Amino acid sequence: MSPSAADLALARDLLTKRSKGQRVCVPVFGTGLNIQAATVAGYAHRDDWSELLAKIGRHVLKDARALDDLPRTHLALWESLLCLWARQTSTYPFQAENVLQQLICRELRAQEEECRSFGLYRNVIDAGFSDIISLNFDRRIALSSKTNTFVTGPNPCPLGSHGESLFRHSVVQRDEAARTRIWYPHGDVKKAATLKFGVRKYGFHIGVLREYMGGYDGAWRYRASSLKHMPTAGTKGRLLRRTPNWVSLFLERPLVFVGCGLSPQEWALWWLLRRRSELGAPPAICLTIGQAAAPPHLRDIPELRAIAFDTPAELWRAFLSWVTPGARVRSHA
Amino acid sequence: MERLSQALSDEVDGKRTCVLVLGDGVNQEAAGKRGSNDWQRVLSAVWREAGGSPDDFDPTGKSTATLWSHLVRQWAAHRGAHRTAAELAIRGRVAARLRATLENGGRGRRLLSKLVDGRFANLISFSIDRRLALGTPSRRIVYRRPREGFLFRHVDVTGPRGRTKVWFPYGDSGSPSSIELDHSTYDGRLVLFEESRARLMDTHNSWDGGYGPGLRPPQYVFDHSWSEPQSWFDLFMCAPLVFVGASLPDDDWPLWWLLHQRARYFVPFKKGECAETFYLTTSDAETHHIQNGAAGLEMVTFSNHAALWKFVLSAVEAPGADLRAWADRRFRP
Repeated sequence: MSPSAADLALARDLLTKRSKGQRVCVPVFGTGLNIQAATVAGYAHRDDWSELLAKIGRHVLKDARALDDLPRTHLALWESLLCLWARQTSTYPFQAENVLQQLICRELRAQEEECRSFGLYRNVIDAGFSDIISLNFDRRIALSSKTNTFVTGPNPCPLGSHGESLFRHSVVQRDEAARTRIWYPHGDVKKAATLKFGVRKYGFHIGVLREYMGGYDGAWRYRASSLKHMPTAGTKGRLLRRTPNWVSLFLERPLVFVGCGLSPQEWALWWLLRRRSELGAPPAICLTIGQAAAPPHLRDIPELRAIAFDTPAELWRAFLSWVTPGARVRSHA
Repeated sequence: MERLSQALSDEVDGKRTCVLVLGDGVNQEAAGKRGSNDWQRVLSAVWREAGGSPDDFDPTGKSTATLWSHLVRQWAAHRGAHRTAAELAIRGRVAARLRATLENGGRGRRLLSKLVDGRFANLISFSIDRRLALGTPSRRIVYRRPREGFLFRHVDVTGPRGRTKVWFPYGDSGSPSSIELDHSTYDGRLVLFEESRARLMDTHNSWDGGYGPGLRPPQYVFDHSWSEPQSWFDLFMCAPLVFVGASLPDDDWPLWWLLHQRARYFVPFKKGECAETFYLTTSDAETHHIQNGAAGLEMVTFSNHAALWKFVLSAVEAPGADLRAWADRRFRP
């Protein structure tokens, strides 16, 4: 079933609306972007989360077939793998988690190098968004441009080390006057410790987001001393207000999710989507794939409107026609 | 099955040490009308009270948190109320209906009485109605720490076979303000769990156990606190758990946080130093997210509900076995 004309118009209007020459909406990309970029370029590693976890599983398990005997959902599978690795290496689970996250980073950094010239990333940069949110850990969008730099945010971080991912981002200078910032809410492969995956990190991340939004001070943290470099709440508040971060963009700008599964297990993402919906934030839409309709968890929900395309090729063709009209876009497989 | 039977029969000083975690399936079984769901009927009635059309309220396949959020939005829209006011109103309406209908009725008392009279030191009820505690009028019921947070509040039920603590992690209808079923409460719960985890780990981190200098094993902690636990959080982290009639919905993040943290906590210890986690289900139930040992849950599948309850009730009515006399019986290599 193709999207209705009204839905297509809604998506086009959101993506093309400009204010002071800048696009108003913030696109949010997931692994679908990497898969489509790889498909178009004929690249073999089209890793979604399942594939990435399978690679980790092959590292942890002696017998690859044993992967079939582990939990099915990504989060439970990750937790099982890190517990298995902790037992095998006689380490605590948090230490095992760090090791597995470094493995993920190593794998993704290798892929970054191989994929940086793919056309789709360049198309995304050329679309001229002032801000892009990437739910992927890798920096392929930024690396597709030679003029990229990385900003680590305030040091020390006012929200502790768990809060660094609110501020870390890439900057691509498109021309003298225009730049695109690319944010990594789930962490980035430049620093494995920033990766947000696993229940402890998810829970902590939601606490940090709540803290950023003013709900808590830092006293709930396990080691309150981790915030002792920020002596007063006032100092912290001022620093948070003046430091650019993706949370304020997420809450205040229209969002267009593209190539994102938006799994219900992405706790922090859904927590924030619900918060922005409760706060009456601008609209959010999700361009998704579904033969008959959007996936069940995205249907008829107040947080966003899902617009389903029959195939990824149709979705990306529509998206690129709205954001890079007239650009030379390679035909999609 | 043998280990499950043993876990259910273990007792100290005439009290069973394992904790039954009871979901709404228990109420359905007690009412003798499986598939006819009292809880959903209450929610539907409040939905109509909130001006909603019955056709727009389809609870099939939806988690309680999703339905609750749906109700709050409808109430807020219909009454022009702020979200917080709508949430409070819904809590009050649902609690009043539960008190007026289910808790006064005689249906299902027999099964619930058997569970409460099963000589368990602790029971955890995921339902917010108090049918389990109010099973028969001859019991003495005392609310403990009613003004404290959701982790500590519980009911002492003293019947002919002694005292049982009944914990209501999601609140109970006797105190509408205690009810927390909405997604919007998740951040607060996760932060409190993080604090509680830190407290538990700090309290029991002064002895050379595990990989040392490290934690005391859960079995050790539980042996010292099982009859007077500080909160149901401690039970969730250390006690043998048997889930009955609980669906453990995928979107109940705080619950899965607890289950996965429990699994992580157990990693450094020998099998005999940890507690078991059994999940009782039937072959026709949707258990995709629990299969293959997600969060260390050991699934025990019965052919149908009759077989499941026959097993549970015979285990509950059977005499216990003194755990101290058989200390090393349970965890054979």
